Amino acid sequence: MNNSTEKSAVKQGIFGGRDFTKTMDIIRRLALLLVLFALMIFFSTQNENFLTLRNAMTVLRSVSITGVIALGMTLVIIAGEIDLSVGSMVALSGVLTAWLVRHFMQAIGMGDAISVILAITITLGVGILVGLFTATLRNYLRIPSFITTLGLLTALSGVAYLISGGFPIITFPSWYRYIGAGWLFEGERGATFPGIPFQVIILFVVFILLFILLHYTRIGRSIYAVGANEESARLSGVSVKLVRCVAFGITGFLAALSGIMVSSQIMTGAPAVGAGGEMNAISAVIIGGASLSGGVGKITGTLIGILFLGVLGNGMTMMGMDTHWQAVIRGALVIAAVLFNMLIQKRS
Amino acid sequence: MSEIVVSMKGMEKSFSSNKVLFGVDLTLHKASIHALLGENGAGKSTLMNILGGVLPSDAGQIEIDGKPTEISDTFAAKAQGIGFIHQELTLVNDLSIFENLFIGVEEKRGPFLDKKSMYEKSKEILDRMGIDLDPMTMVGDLNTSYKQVVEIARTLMHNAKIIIMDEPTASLTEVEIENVFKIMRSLRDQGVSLVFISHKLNEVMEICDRYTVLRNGHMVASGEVDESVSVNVLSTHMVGREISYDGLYHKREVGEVILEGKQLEREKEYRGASFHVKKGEIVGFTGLLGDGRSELFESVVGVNYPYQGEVFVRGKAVKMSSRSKAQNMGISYVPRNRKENGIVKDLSISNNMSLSVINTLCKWGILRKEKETAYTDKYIRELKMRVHNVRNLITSLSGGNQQKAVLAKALGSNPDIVVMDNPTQGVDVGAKLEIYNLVMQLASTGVSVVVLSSEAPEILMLCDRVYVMFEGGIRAELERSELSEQKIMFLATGGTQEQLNKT
Repeated sequence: MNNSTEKSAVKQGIFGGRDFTKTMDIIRRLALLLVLFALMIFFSTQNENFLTLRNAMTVLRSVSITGVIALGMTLVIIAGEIDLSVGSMVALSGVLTAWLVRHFMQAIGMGDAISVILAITITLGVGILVGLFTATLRNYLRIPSFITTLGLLTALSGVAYLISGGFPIITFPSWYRYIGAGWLFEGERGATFPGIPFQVIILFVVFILLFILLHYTRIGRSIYAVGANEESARLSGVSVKLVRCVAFGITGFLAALSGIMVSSQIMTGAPAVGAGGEMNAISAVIIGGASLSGGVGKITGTLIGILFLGVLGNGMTMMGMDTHWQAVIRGALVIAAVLFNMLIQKRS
Repeated sequence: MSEIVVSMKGMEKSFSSNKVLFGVDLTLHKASIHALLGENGAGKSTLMNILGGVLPSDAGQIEIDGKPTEISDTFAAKAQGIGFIHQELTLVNDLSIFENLFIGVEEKRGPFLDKKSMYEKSKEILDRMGIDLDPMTMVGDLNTSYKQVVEIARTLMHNAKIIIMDEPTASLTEVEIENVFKIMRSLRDQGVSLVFISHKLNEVMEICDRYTVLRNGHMVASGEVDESVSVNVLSTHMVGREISYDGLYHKREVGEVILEGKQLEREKEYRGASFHVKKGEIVGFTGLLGDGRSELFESVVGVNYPYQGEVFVRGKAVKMSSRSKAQNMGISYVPRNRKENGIVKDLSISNNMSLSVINTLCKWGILRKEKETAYTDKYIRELKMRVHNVRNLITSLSGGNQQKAVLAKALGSNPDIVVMDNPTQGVDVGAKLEIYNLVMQLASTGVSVVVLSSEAPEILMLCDRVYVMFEGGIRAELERSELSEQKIMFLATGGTQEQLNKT
């Protein structure tokens, strides 16, 4: 067979030489970025302090806690599922860590470092277990994850109150603050480069790891396949059950991590934090272009979605906008983003 | 010659830079069934979408009853008496027949639905079609052919005098097809014109009065279905060259038994099934719909567990409890119903092709894109797929090329045994031949192929040996030398081998 004709047959194809899906995909991803830039330019004209490195770090810091959850949520949503329990998991995780630290230090008399490390490990483990619980009910009893996690949303919050007795637990050693509020390469007060907040580093490490997982591993590809067409995936030898366990397990883990970050920021285990966190996370994922019906979504999209919400919130606050108006605008934006994605997809 | 109802002249249509219709003419006569033929992508659907008001045309004229007519949207088409039955049925399963018939045009008395009147009008239409169905029946309880019939009834509700049917028989069984044909004939006799789009040329010969063939957006042939027209003539028009299956089959050496089933059984699906497949052999399993062959082999490939009995691979008993277990034993699987089971529509062509073999494309657990590209390129070449860019969505491909992508997925793991369920479903004539050639080629390299199909010609063409199934049991085993379409039909409808030997 002739080699050159083969190549041209592959290249020419049915659309006569233009690659629509790919071009449209790039446009769509860039479009969101462009809107983000436009927003930043607008805010910088409103307030000269907006476009500074210090403010950039403030924005990143403000989104990192929701961001860590949203990145995990991306996996669950691409797999065609949903996790409403993450907000309550944040509360539970903070309270649990605080309670464990107090227990280890006061009741058992362990050192503060080992207590914190042990407490964090156990809490992250609980996060994974909660995720696996949802996945198991979905896998073996076919209970929709919406239902299970709706139940967990209430139940986990209840557990958090039970453990804490309704009051914040204040036990952390002072250095614990570093996780949620520490800075790396911290500059002088008023310097142009303020350093990098530690939680922003956590956000980007999670982002990179999930990016690799989703686009460069078998399980990542399987998450897409299961979300798009469970039956095809199963018949192709993909373990659907494993995929769900991984997606929910990681999301539970990240929600717990996010809760630890919050508890470090406020130096307490408080049962009231994190409420509504699931909705912010889902918003970021949706703005990032994922589809609630599964199979579609990008981890980079979610990151942009997170930044988008962060920049918007920060800018509106700097403009002195009423917080209730901010909520209205944020809500409208989610709807607009979905509409926007649909319009662009329709054209392609 | 009967009067002309619709005349489309010089129809042209482009999608951005891609021209799909080049001045096509189509004439429909009153009280006739007109076959619209062509390979996937020939422009049939586009042409019918223009007539049905779904798409605007770029150029050309439509006359209905001799009067020039603009069909700007689907409502205008309805007003002109054009009914369009799409391939995917649009009925709501959780509503009854009469509620479905009146969706969008509900009759009311005051603010409330006038169920009595709607019920009676539905009954009238069903009676007119000669169908004994209670309009109160839930659509979800109907089998596919009756759903098709309800779709037809819906077009009649709008007094359709032209009904376009896009592959109405694609998912029907023989008996169901007869049902639909009966209705189509009776409508024709009442003066309705029908356009019948189908890949099954035998059906066209059976039911159609006239035909038009499109190829690459041009009309290449049109006329009456008379003695001069045969399946061969039509397929030659469609493909543009003569399609010949002669010389496709050649005898090969077959080796040891590699796959064996002993007394396999699963409740309500199949029972007492024993069979064997040798190395390099092409074995067919055929029968009517519901004979259990699909379920039987779903068990063999590990997606229909648990089952009773035993499966042996290379002489060793294996519990096929998961797909990956069967994969590790070298068994590949091409499932039936490409759209539901074969492709993942949100994934790209290359991601679809590599889905089953992604393990082999990884290093230290990380996917190597260059390996994936090499893999997809290799199969695109080997299977002669027409692909523009492998990163496009799988749904951008024609049916035949999608099916090849599914085949690539199955072949990528270098299997010893390939199980193909209905491998040429919804595939046009040209791609069909290529798939048959591929099966032959596989077998001659020592791969065993199990072909599940209810199309007797397909089985006759390919198989060294055939098992005929009936109601979950294996009825008979036939060598190639004893195969004939009549024998298969006799056994598949419940005849026994003993009866066959007597006659």
